[in-house]
Amino acid sequence: MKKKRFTALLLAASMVLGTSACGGSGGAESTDSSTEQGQEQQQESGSESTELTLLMTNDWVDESTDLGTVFIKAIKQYEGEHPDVKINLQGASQQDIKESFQTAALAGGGADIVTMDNSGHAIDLAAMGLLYPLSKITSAEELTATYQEGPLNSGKFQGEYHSIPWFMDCCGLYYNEERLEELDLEVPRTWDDLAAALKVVKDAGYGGITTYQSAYAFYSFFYQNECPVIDTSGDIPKVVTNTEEGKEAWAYICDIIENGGLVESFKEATTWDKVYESFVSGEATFLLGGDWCANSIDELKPDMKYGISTMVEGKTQATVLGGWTWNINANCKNPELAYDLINFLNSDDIQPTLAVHGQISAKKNCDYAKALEGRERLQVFTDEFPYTCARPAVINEKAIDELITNAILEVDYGRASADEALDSLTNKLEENIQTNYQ
Amino acid sequence: MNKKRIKKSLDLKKNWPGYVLLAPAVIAVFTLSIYPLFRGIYLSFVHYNLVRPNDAIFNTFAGLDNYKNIFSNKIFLQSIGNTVKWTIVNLVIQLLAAMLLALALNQKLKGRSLYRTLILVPWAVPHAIAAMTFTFLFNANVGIINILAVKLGMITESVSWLGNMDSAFWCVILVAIWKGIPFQMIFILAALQGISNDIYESAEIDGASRWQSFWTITLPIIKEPLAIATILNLIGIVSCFNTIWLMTGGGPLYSTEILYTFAYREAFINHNFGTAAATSVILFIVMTGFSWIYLRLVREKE
Repeated sequence: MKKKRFTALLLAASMVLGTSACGGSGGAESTDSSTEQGQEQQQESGSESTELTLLMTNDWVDESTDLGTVFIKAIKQYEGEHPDVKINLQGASQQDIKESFQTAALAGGGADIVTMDNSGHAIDLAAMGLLYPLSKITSAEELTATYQEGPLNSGKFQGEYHSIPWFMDCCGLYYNEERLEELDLEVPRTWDDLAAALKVVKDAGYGGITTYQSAYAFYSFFYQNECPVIDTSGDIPKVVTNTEEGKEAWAYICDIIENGGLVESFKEATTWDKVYESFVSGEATFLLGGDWCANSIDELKPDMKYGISTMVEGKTQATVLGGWTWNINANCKNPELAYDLINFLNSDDIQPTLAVHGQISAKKNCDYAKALEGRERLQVFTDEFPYTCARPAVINEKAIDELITNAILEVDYGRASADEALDSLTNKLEENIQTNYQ
Repeated sequence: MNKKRIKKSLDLKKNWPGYVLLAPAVIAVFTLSIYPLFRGIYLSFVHYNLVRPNDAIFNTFAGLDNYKNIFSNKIFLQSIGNTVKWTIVNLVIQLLAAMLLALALNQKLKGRSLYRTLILVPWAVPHAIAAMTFTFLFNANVGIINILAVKLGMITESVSWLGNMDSAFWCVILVAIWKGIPFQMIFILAALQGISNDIYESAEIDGASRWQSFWTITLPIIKEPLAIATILNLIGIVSCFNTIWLMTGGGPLYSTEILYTFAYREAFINHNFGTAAATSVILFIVMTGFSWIYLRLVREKE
């Protein structure tokens, strides 16, 4: 009987342990950058090590890829220079990284550092109190002296910086060179050029513009007409889509749509893959996208020559910002160390890791000529950097993006006129701001 | 007296090793199912907008505010309509197709086992893979459906099936039907195999047609397993989040938005866990109703 009880107890204990062990993995892919041998040595010597966890997109922590190899090498270099620091790398998909971090951080845990798209995620997390305010570690002057304004402002919430820029990109105009030659068209430089080119392209039986189904590329047209969509200069953001500038920009966008300037597949372009397919297959003559599109288009081995130009100019030259930032978890036990690691990863020695992925540092002193070595055609993007604007830094930017996208679709489906769609959009944006700020 | 009886039946002293063995499973169920359930119900009655944690009303009692908010939301009302349409169309087509297939596969056909196995394949395909595959098939530029339709002269230009409001819903439903038929079919087939051939032979001797045999013999005999399978399938259909989210994300313009996608949008895009929880509670009530019917049917059958 005693033996039976003992066995039962043992089994139960092992089951409980098994359950907790499963839970501990957190479902995220984990790559320990330190060698097992190193860990054993540390344990033997009894030295206490400080641990930092980095949550990145899968590509960066996958040692089987060039990017992962180079990045992990950089991490090991940091560990070599700081023997008392152990860095754990966690991976998540690009779509899930914010939710993964948010869920863990809300529960009082989460990675110490997380990288995120600069499209408003940091503002949401800062509003939730999940990001460590950088004013506790560094000064605003130091940050503004080191990093480009746009990427830095993408993490600014209630006057306080919460994100450290990593790399940046912006929206450019890709065009089918052969088709423009065939139709005797110049590369569009202004709003009028683009509208005229789209008409010629359509009359010839070709498709016009393709881009990702979001507000991303369309923000550029508002910015080119000096309309920030949402003015974030005051305490409470203000919707400015119904100003003269906003109305003009919206009318221009709707003219393009109503004249069939967007390709059919834009309606289903909810992933970038579909955007590249549309461009490479010849459906679209123009593509609005960032520097990363070039790599993806080349991977599809297009049977045509294409070129890249800066975004067209309206009243002014402007384009929308993209890129990624580093963010420190509010639950991080050692934010100074986390900041030190970020500085190391952003340092000039380590920046070449970005080149593997074709990205450009968001630091002010970035040597673009060096960063673009072998990829000179991407220079159009660095040319655009001085006039690149971040998306509105407001809470729930994703919801704002969805409202703008839906207004564009309403016009594209012919369910609303340009004016009706703008009125409805302005009301919905105001409601959204009211819900989140008042 | 009652307490004594319970104590005796539990017999803690004698059965404690059994309880210890059960403990991890019970703890896991409480942690992963019971606690989240009550937490969800609690959240539906409090102000819980995650991006406004410093508000004085954050995490305070909201009464029915979250429920009022969602019922005044046009997208929520649209998602209710879509959920009902989604459920009815899915259920009816799946039921009819599964019944026909089960009746066909119950006949003595050459290669019957092979057909039965092949028909089960969609059920074994994970939702995510099915969604991605069909998204590719429907693709406006490289999708085989467009290529074939243009070649056959059915359409003159490629169509964005998942991007148009009129077609997106039916495309997504097609995938759900394709995936759901085998589940329903296997239940019906199992029930059909339990019917003795003698009954049909007697009916044939009495002059009953095949149609009459189906209505008076087959259907009454399989009605209980059929009802159970239908209720189980219904629960699966209502909670089919993955297919819709991966194929259309509830779009275009919320034309494929169902209650699940609405709840997800409220929680992870609008960050309002109060209204997301209220939506989930409504879904929970609907699901409880279906489960109750299911349990009653099972009990009656027993």
